[in-house]
Amino acid sequence: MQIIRDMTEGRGADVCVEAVGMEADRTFMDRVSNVVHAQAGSIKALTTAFSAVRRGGFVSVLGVYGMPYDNFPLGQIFDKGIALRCGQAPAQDYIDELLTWVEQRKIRLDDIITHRLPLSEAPHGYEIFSKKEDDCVKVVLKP
Amino acid sequence: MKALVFHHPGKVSVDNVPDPTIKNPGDVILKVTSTAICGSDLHIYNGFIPQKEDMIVGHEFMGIVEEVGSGVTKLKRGDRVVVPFPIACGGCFFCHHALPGHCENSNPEKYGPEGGLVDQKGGGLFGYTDLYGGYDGGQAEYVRVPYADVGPRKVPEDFGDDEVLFLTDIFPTGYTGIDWANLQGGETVAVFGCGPVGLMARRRSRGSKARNG
Repeated sequence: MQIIRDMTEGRGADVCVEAVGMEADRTFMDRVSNVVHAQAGSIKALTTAFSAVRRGGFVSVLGVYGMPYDNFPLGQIFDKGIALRCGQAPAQDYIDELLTWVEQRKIRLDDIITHRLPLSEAPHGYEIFSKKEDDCVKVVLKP
Repeated sequence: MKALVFHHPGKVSVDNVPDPTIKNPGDVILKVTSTAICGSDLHIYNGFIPQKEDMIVGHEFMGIVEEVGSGVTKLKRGDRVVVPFPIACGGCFFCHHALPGHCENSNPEKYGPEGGLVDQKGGGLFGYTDLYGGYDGGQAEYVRVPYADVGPRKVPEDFGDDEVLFLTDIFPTGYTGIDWANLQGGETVAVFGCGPVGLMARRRSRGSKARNG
């Protein structure tokens, strides 16, 4: 947080992209709140983005959230005047332009693949991806 | 065929299951050549998104068209395609408003305006529980792709599967987080989460005029 503010003359980032979702590691209070409010997961990544974004800034939420959450910081969002947009990508509407970028070699996508496995080893892929074992970033399966 | 089947949280296995068949004239059957595990698949795997019945998982996949429904005009057997993750009809209000994930026709059982916990959800998704249409996913040898004239895109032969596979989800998703912000140039962008989607968002923001954060 301090690093982001130091880079931005104390204001915070113009745009924060939240690419984590509800499965962030839970704090103790998250665990208590999960039980009290019958919730699952944490909004820690989201609240971090609200703190890191500048006043009047924009927060994009790509991480998946599945249910209501108590202690949602509406007051902070109002005070800072944050614009918020969440949800799934309109992939059909973007894919043609993005395919052009790949064809023109403006961007490379395959360098994040850490594991290529046959389909028969998919359960192992789930395990290492979920536990972040073996430096797993992205698993591609070959049926 | 063989497919990755979700049984209950923490339990997935590769099982022998019936081959998919054409159900509607707009369907194709794809022989899957590559498919990836998405971070959002882990929400199912870890029990954060409920699913009672066994289900084939997977919404990041590509392959070769094996069988073509009678109503499909843009694809033929042998075409090599990538498939975007939302199942969208291409003709409804939301499809016309660049919101294919909210398609009004692809999730007839559980769709609705409310966005509730266990009903009135969005449009259909491949391999993403009965809440999103109950479609079989693509972590399998074959998969049925509905609305095949709307989603799948042919890919050039001189690009390998790994080079184009992430056009299905994580690259458009990372791109979306930046595109929504409507950058004008010079902005500072901070990305939280350095998993696959965060990494894709970072390279998208570098491609724009934003300062690297």
